[in-house]
Amino acid sequence: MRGLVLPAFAIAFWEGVGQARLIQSDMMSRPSEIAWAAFAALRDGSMLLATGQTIATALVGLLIGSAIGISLGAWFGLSSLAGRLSTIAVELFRPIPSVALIPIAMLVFGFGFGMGISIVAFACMWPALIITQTAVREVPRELMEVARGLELKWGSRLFHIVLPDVVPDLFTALRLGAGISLIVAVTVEITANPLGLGYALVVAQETLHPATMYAYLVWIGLMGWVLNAGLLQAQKRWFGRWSSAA
Amino acid sequence: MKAALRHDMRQPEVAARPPILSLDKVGLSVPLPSGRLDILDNVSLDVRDGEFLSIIGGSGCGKTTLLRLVGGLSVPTSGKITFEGAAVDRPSRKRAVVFQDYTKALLPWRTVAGNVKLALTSGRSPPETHEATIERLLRQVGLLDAADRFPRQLSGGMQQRLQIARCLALEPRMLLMDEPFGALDAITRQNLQDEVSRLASETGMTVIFITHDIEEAVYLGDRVVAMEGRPGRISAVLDIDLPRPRNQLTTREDEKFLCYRHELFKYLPRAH
Repeated sequence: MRGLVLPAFAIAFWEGVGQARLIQSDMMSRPSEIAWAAFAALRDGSMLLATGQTIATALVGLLIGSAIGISLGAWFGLSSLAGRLSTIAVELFRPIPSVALIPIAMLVFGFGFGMGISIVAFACMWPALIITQTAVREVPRELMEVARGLELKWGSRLFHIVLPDVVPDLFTALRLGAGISLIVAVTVEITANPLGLGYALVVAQETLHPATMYAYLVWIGLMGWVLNAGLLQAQKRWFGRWSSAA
Repeated sequence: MKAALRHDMRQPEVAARPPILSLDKVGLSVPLPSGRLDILDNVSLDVRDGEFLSIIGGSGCGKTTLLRLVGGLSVPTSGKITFEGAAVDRPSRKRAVVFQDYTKALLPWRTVAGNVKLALTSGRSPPETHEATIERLLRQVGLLDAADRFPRQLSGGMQQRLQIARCLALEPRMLLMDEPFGALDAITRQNLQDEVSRLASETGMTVIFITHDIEEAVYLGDRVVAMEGRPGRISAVLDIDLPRPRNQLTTREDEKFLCYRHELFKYLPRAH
């Protein structure tokens, strides 16, 4: 609770400065105005609609990207040949900033969900790929030897030994990807796509509604925080005592 | 002079049976930047069906490597290993390995029963028999009450018992144990020694048991192989003629036990 003292004080100070008309600005709004604008946007449904669009883009992109990343990572990690062959390609494509793909995605998908989802998926794929590949490589040698000793088939080895061992890491990859997915989804909306929270933020700014703009900003921050906290809790609960090494 | 140690006291028909496992001039070397490093050099050994063979040696003498070769986990760079008449080139359910580090060899996300079950489902036995088999095996190693617990909730001795139970589920012809009790306290260790001894005679399995403890080697073994290091080779093979079942008190006080211990002590490296 003590952590709230400073923000509360800052908000009160901001409100006081605004009420006293010490600073005049078109781009500043008082916290009370922001709260009122948020209430209005929530009531007329525009904020919830935009939230739904952003979350849909982020979530679908995250799932697609993670699925591709985890599959490729598992493959590259299990087969040393695939791992060696893929190294250069991965190092070449990974540093491309995901938002640099906006022009291409716009050409391919046009405006709409396809564009946002594809860019989010690209961004989320890499952490999933790298984390999975590393985790698969680090499955204890003893476990792999136990699997050989039991004469487990390839599929059996994957589903009974490798995947259970890397599940906690996969969840870490998913948590990391979730944060990235929200950032990228909003960025695409701000820069190009007429959808979701990012677009609403830009519209509010361009139509000179600073209070609404700040309301969206605070709302996006809140969503990011809830997302991360929720996933952290889930991870602690499900995988806190999963691995023997931890 | 080392050959003088070999005095086969067994019944002739036992000694005359073909060996279940034979190592013929087995060597293993690994490439290094500065040439090749010999880990094992010219190891020849016949293991008899049903015998309990202890291998002792100081650390780094290649005894674990030898066990891995027999298990099929590594492949020798020279010589030949034959098991039941066929060359060994991969692991097999017939030669179960009990790893030294039980914390890494058990599946932490499976219960005690689940760990044993994995060994059964990957085999050929009909699924409807699995439950009864798991119960029998867990009773054999004294883990029946812990069937639903996870490995991390068990003591070290219990985890090692679980590893043994999982190996027994394979119904192996041969049990390969790599310093299985090295990390356990003295009391747990003695109990497990007696249990393994009992299991071996009940099932008729051949056991190769690696240890750095001379007394453990003599107490358990029908024969003891002493190894010396760098490169690893066999320095002595000693037949142990002590009555079974063995007893932690009387066997260890037996005059012959002390003689064997004395004899083998010569082959272990000492600090200079």
